[in-house]
Amino acid sequence: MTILQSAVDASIGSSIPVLVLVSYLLVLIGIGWAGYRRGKGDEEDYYLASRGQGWFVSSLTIMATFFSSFALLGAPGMVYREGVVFALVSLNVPVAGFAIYLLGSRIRAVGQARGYVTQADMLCDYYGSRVVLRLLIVIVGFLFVVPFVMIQLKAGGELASVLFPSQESAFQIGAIVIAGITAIYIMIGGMRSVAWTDAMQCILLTSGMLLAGVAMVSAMGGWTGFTQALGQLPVSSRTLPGNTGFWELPMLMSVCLFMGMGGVLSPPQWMRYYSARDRQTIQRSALIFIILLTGCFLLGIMLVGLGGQALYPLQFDQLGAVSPNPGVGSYDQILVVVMKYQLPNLLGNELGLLLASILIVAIMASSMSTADSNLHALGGLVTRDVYDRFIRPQATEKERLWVGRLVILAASFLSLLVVLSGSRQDSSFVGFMEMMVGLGLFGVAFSVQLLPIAIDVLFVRKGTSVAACAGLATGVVFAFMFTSLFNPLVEWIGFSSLRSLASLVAWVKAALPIHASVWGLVPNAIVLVVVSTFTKPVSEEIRLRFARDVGM
Amino acid sequence: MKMKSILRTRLGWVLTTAFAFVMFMAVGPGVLLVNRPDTFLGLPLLYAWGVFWYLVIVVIALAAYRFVWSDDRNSKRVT
Repeated sequence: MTILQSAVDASIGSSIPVLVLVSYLLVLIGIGWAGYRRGKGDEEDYYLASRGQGWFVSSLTIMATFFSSFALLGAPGMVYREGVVFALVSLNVPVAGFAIYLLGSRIRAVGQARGYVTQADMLCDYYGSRVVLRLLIVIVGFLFVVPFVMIQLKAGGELASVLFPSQESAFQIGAIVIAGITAIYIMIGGMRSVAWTDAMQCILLTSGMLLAGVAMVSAMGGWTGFTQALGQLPVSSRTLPGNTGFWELPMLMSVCLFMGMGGVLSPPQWMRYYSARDRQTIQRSALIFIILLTGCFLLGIMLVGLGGQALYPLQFDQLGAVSPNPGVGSYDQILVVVMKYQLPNLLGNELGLLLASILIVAIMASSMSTADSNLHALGGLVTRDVYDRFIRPQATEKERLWVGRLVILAASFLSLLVVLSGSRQDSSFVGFMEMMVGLGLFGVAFSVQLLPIAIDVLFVRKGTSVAACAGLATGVVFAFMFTSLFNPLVEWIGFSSLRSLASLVAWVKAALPIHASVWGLVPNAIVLVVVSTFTKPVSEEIRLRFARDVGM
Repeated sequence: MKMKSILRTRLGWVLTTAFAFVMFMAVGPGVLLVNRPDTFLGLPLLYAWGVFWYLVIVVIALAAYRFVWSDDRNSKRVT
């Protein structure tokens, strides 16, 4: 009887995660299908849901796009590695929220007035740049989107590696499943499906973030046990600059001020401002974003990383170098490891498994909600700003929609390829790919380069076309040199002159440890201002038209 | 109406300055005031510091939404 009972319990236990997961995936496909049925089949509907999105869906889709598996796996992973200092990085979220109000409501107003779909539509229309600026903006979009899609696919891989440790190719299979399902439902439904699924995924994601924090505190015997354990953490885990010494004050401050800004100016978020129904939609979205998302981050998911350090102590070698506990495969796996090995033990098999399943679904939701938005935006970017302008201007709307879908497929495949090859231990880029937060910081270093020209177009209106192109190009090049990809790339290419440049950059970085986005922004803004003083200004008529359209 | 607009602009500047101060204290040089391995209510001091400034930000955001952004909506309707 006991054996039979155990077998029944085991069968119920093992079927809970599968049932939760399958239900979630079916609902996603269903929403994709519903979005397709509601769609009008034209481009504006596919990319912007006919500009009629209300505040509820808008705020949820903006949040879901901003917070990806970066939040659910990457952030606790970084707290697990560095300690409390990374919890302070949560305060980049309010900066992003206020930027949504300041920039987003103006972008929406101009976009609605002039019928823009992509970032380049607005910026190139203002500066009158038909080719150079448009291509630069597409490059910036690409450099943001691909790493962010890679983060999500990596999350699928990390999740599968912990859940199916006996399966040799679990990482690869997890990444492929996330890429496949996401690409399918965006290709079917467009913006409406993406926004609707984002809304559902955002609810899962925010509850997952809070739930994970609560689960971690309970797993450590309640609040007293939790705080006692935190008191035992190494001093470096409880102070600046963290365990590896990376988070020195200038780095912390520059990341908090500009990382969120990069997310706010990314292609998918920009398109969400266009698709908002009215100004109030953006304002409410900004408020919810500031309060709810920062809270979920600071009071929820960050506790997982801190508790994780107590449950799975980090390994310090004699030189002070840090590595994860052998029980944790990689830093980014800490939440999944806690959820798999601690929750069922502490909360009982069924409740623990149910909670773990909900968290698994939340991780998948966070991955998919960001991957879908970014892929969808990239489809719009390449189709409208490259294919339609330079390759086949005579293409029909239907043809352009299909090209957009093919771009989504190609970008998913490319990101998957990079993730799979970068995950090999012998890869030159294994360091670059190690942490999700690192990939995220790489992406925002580029999207934030649009800040000077966005401020110019929406507020100042003094910049010129040549200056905008020169500033943006300078910003992108400088930002790239200060990212974590530059060194491995130089090593891989092997030119000696580039090696000297890389050494110089390394020396400057060590002297002033600020984020790559600022290393790009400063020359970007200087070039924009200086070159604007001696090049042909934008016509008075266009400046007045934009001032009127901004309407503030 | 004009008086209300002036008050709204002033409040906007006050809230902007307050937010800049919060960022300076929470993730800028102000954080060095609490950069030691102490605890506050059982939590690492640095973490409690972040939570405190988050609560201040919530107040600033609510005030901005209620008094500055809402006027922005009303004035838009009037025009």
